[in-house]
Amino acid sequence: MHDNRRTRLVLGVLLIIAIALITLDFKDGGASPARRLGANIFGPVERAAHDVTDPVASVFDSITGGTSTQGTIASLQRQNAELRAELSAAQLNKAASKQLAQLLQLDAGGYKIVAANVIAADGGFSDTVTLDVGSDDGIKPDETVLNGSGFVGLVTQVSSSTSTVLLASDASAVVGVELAGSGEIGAVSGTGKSLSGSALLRLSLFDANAVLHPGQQVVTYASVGDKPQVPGVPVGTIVSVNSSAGGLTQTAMVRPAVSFTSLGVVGVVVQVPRHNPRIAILPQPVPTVTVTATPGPSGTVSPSSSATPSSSPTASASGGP
Amino acid sequence: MVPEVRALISVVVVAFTVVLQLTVVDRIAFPGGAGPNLVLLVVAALALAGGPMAGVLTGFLAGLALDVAPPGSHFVGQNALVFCLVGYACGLLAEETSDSEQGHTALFEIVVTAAGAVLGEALLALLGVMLSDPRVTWPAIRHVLPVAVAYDVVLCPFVLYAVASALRLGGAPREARRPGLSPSQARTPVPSTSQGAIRQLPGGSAPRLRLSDRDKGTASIGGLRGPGSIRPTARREPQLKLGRPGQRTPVSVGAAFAPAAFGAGAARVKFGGRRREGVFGGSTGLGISRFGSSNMGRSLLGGSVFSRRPSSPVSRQAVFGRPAALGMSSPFRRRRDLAGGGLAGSAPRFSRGGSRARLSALTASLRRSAPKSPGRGWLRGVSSRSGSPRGNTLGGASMRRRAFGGRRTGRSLAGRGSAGRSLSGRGFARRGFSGRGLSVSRTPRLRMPRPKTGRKWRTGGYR
Repeated sequence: MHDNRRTRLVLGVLLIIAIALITLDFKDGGASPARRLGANIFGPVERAAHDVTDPVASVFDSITGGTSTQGTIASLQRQNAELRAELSAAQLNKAASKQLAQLLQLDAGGYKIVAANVIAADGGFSDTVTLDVGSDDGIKPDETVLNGSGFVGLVTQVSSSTSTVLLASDASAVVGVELAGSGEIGAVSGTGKSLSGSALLRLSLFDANAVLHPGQQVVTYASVGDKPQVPGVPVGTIVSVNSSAGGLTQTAMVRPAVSFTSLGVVGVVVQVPRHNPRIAILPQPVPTVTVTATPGPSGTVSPSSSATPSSSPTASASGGP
Repeated sequence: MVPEVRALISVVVVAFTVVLQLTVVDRIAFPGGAGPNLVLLVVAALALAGGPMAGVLTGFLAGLALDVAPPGSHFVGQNALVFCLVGYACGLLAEETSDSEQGHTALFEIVVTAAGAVLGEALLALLGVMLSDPRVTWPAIRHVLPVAVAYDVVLCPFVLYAVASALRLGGAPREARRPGLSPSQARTPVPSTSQGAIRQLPGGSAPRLRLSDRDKGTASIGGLRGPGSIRPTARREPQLKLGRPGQRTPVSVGAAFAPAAFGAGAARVKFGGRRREGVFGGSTGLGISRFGSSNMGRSLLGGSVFSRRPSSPVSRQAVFGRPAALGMSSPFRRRRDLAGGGLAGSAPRFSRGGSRARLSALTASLRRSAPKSPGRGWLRGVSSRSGSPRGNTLGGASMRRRAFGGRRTGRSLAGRGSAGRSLSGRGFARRGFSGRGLSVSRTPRLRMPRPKTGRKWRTGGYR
């Protein structure tokens, strides 16, 4: 009737507007002015919301972060102890400070890093997060984001107070990498949500004859002008090799060095060291347990600090009660 | 509630949900690899409460907000497109069904919201595929979609409850305001009016019944929209006419009601009260009738929320006698208008209150004049007419109708078309209410004294 017709009219108009927006954004490659406007509007709100919701999200992360990976009973028990201890606010702060400390070690390696908090994430099919730093903090698009464990992703969009990061696990993310020992080059792409369980990355080597075996470290490869990624940042460890006879490339699955579902404090590389630091920041090839142990990724930066993941939980457990 | 207040609340709720979704929900690593889409659920709930127009607008705005908010990496407009459609679908479903129903049951609302969520998630995935989003591949959909939908469905009731309470925040002032808008009717508190209605019904004076109905209607209207002030006047007209229908004789009014109203008015009234409970249960399904008497069965969003919808006030009255919620479709309603207004003989009167009512009455009369789709309406009108005599003679049929007719009587008096209702009444009877209806009708007085109806009225969510 009357109202139905009007409603239908409004519906039609809005649908056309939506399609027009999609078209414009499609043409602009995902960087339409609308998004900039939205970032300016929602960025500050999300920053404010993060201050309120961070403890909640952290607790949830610590609870749910480990469910996707398989572990032994012993490791789960240890995890429980850690989680119990982590529940206190002091421990949460401590975890954040530890991540910061690891970033500072990277800093010592020559990187100039802007520390940032992950304040929002995108659900659905994409793996993107928002950082609470923006162009006001010197962030520019195509800069590398990493944390104490390794490579996190690339900055794709920047507003004045926030920036959007495309995680390496996103299905549309491609990162140039090389094998830590042999120097074979290839590309790592995210698998997005197409794999159930833990998110692995897919490595394809350009050399079909290269030797791949599980356990090899994968680090980022140098790119022109250090954009989009800086060299030498650990990406992950090869867990399985897909030998496809007759394929032009070799592919392998890589377990990422960072836990993308529990990102807390990250760093944006705004300046690269003059010397190649790849060996210095290569993490100890620790088993995956460490990834799931704490809400924040707890990989180690240097061999000497590899003991920290195990020691800190015990310390925190004793301090908790 | 004043529309502006309602819109404001909706905007606040949507904005809050968008921020909550991005900063908390999406950051949580849910088992299964996907999480719920709270914004989608909120859009569905708001559409359910506000109708298609509200659904379209809130859906578009919520989707757009989700699109442009920072971490978004899909194309701007994707969510807006999908949420817009979901809001429209849910609003339409709610409106069409509520037209015949006094309010939705909680189960109905949950089901609709869940359906909206499923539709939304599926459309989002489909749109992603159409736009050749590299992330939205078939394996990804297979992993994400079921999990996301499951979380959505699980969270449905909670989101509905939250939205309902948020809307009720604005509902309180509305009650206070109403008196000013419609002095005479509005002042009487809802419960009292309903009780009054009941008492009067026993008396058997047709006009009073109508009045009471009107009062209820206004109450519901007040709940719905600001323009309540206009509607009361519209309703008044019905009163006058109501007198007529009663005089008209059963046939003119609608077979089902007329006999009951005149023959055993009091008894029917009582039935109405009862009926209501039964109706609630019946609306959701036969097995769910227990919900009817408890709050659980009532609409989460509250009758008031629905009643705010422009068309609902009228429908609201009709609600009691109406058939299953899901069974009602828009064409159905229109047909009823046709049949009731045109065929039953209560001319424009049957239409809803307010300017809207007049419009619909106009359209209905137009339709009537036009040969358009007379078939169903005619059939119904005829059937109802023919049915009434039959019912009288047979007794059983009439009884059935009476059982349902408590409400209907009021309605018919109010001048609304009764054909559709009578049909619904039959439907109920078929479902097995007939026996109950009979017994009830026979012992009308016993039931009358019960304060139950009043209480129910209150619990019905008119606040």
